[in-house]
Amino acid sequence: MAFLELQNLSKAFDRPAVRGVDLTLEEGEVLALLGPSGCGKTTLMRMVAGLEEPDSGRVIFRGREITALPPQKRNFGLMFQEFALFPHKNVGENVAFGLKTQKLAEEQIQTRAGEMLKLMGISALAGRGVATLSGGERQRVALARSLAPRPELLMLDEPLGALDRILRERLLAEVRTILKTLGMTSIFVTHDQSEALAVADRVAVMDQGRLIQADAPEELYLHPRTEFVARFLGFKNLIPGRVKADGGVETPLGDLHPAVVTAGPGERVTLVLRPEAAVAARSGTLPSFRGRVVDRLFLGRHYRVTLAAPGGLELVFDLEGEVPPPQTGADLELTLSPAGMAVVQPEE
Amino acid sequence: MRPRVRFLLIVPVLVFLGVFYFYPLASIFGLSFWGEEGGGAGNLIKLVQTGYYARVLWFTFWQALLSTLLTLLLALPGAYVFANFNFRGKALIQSLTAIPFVLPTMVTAAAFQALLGRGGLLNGLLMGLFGLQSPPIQMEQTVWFFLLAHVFYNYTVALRIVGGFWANLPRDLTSAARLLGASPLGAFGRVTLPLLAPPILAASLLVFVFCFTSFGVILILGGPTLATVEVEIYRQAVQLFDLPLAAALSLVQILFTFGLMALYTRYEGKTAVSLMPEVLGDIRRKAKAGLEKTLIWSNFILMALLLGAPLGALVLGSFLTEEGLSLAYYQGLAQNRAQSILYVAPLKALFNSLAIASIATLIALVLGFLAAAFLAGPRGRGAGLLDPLFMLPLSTSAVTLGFGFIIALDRPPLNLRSAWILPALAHALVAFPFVIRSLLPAWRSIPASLREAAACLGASRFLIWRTVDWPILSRALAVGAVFSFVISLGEFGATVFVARPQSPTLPLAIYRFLTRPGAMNYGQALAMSCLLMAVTALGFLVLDRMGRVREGS
Repeated sequence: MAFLELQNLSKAFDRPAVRGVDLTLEEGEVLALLGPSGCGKTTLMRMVAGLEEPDSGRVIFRGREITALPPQKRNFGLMFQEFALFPHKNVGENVAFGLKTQKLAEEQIQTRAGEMLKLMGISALAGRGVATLSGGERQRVALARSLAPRPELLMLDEPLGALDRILRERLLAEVRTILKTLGMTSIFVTHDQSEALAVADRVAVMDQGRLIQADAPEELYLHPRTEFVARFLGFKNLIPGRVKADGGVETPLGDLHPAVVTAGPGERVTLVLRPEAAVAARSGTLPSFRGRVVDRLFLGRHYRVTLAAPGGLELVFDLEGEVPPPQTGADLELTLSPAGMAVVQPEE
Repeated sequence: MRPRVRFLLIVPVLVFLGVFYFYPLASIFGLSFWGEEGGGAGNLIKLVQTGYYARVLWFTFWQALLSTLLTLLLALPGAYVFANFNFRGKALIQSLTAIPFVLPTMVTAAAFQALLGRGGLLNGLLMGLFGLQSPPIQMEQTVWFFLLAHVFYNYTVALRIVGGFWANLPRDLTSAARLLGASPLGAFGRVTLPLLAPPILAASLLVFVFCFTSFGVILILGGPTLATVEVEIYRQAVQLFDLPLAAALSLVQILFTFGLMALYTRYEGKTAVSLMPEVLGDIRRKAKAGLEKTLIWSNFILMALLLGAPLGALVLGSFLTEEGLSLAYYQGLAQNRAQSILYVAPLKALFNSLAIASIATLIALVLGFLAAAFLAGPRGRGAGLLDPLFMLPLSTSAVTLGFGFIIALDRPPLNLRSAWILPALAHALVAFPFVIRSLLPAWRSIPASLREAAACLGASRFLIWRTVDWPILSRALAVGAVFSFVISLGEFGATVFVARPQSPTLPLAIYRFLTRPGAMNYGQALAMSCLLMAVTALGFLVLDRMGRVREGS
């Protein structure tokens, strides 16, 4: 029995927001809902929270249908995008809010709230007004507040979106550590692919209300299912191709041989060439292709080279330790490693 | 601007305030403490001992409290609807709800007479339907009559202040409370309501002040037996000629209104402070069927009944003569029917009003411009003290102002008793703070860099003023002008003291006609009210449009 199961969930406002999403979540798992803004990830999360009622489909929690259960009866936690701290209550009162609605004894409330503040390292802020806090402090208060009533599932809606870059990276690691230490089953909603890959056990990619792919971060990175997923993960080199009978793929760069080909002979596919897939061609068995260097950036560990390749393609590769260094305007002959290529579904 | 020039700017404003505000105020103090012939504070002591003060004050207080509670009770559901839902015609409906607030008090009084008075539309309808001999609705001369009128014009105050604040409360706050285990009602009680407390309190205070100092509607709708402080000042001064008693009452009124306004300013400041540093998108949504739709529609019906019906009755009443629908009341406006020397043709009253409003607007613009020019400069101690000082006339009740005028300015050194300009001066005093409030934000919004850029491009001082400042200021000045004009046209409380009997303004003419028997008098009062309403509503809609254009750009 899955911990949480979403069955064929749909929701439309003025236009469809979520369309027929099926998804399961195991206990203790951290799932990232990833997609561009407007893809329906927040709506999906709000349906899990009970803040939106689905037009159709079911939400099942520990084998029990909770689709129409009001949010206050679900015992789920939600950390809002802008934190939604209560401005008329101080930090301690914010954290204690969910404990008070559980009608706990005052002593228990104080103990638990104190524990949470300590866990977040913000015990000193207990008496402070919410308006006086910095962005990072707010984030901790919000996390403490949603964890205090011991929710069975925690949802985080773009929890780092409002923070600046340096703070974001530091807190990302911290949030993951806390979630894992507590064994907290979580749904982490984000539009930032690096955040999703770093924090989650599994990443579910959404586009235009549909769930496109839900896989472990490594699997997602190595084998994106569609062109959309590949682009969203940040891959730049996407080239058209057709699968041949011998298992190779016919492309403007010549016939290429990815390690895994998921389509049958004759099918049109898109081929993703990862930036680290190319090395300078040496005399050998692997097929190679030539391109002209149009731009070259030295990035320390490697050169980022932009090539004008056959078929009018512009490709970007990270070339390591090349001697002599590639020169702008010069021709370069490259081979591609089979593991560095992935076959994905082309966009219609 | 050089400091000396800046100081010169403010001198005319201070002189004006000194002569036409502080001097009358001082006269009230003097008269109430020392009496007309230096008779000592005996009057004050007598008033306190006989409980006369307490009775009038108590009535004033509880009618204002009741009006405020009623207003909140009816307006808060509207605030909820406006803050939480999107529906067609929302902006238009919101504009329309403000019209009762800007209507002159005499128009409001006439509208309620036309709807619920003894000879009003509703009584006529009921009598006709059920064949009754006497009017079934007997509201005249009861508190309820003017309480309704108070709710009528204060509805929009509560709606706007509370609704505006509510609309900006992030919805995530209630969602967060729900996730933390609160029921919908619990989330409202523990999160929404505490956050709405400051705007509700601010709106309550403001409505309370308006009802505490309400004059015209109580005078007309309350009849001769009910008197608030404001009405009692008028009666004592104008009908019973007991000036020291009127002065003593004015003193009380001044103390109370100042206290209440100070309190309001404190809370208003708190409300203006954004509670949330984050700005969230518009999450207002369309209503779902069922309960939410019912709620919205019942609000529409309430607004139509409370705000629309009196105005509808007023318009209808102005056309409904004994011979059926006709223009008779309007046609009669130009004729001089009566032989009384105090009678003035309504059309002449209209001309008086227009002339006075033009002069008052001119004075208010000049004063407001000078004051804003001074205040827009570098903020120093002077500006910090003077800004609230300039707002004082707004915190003073109209009747107190008018009464102060007649006791201070009717004898040497300054005898203006029968000067035709007196009403215009009184109106300008009330209007110029509005001009300042309109000009100042515009003036302060002009970035110094714009002027510097123009100067670097070789523009002369005059050219800079002409091309940079003037385009921005002229619009604010226009807003101030429309405001002043409309205020002057509708002003009643002060005018009733200071206007010469033989040249009344339009609101005064309405008052006289409303309080005299006869269908023609009544009908013409309604006709004049309709004219005044049309001009005021037009002015308001122009302002509303200007406001929106400015927000849009």
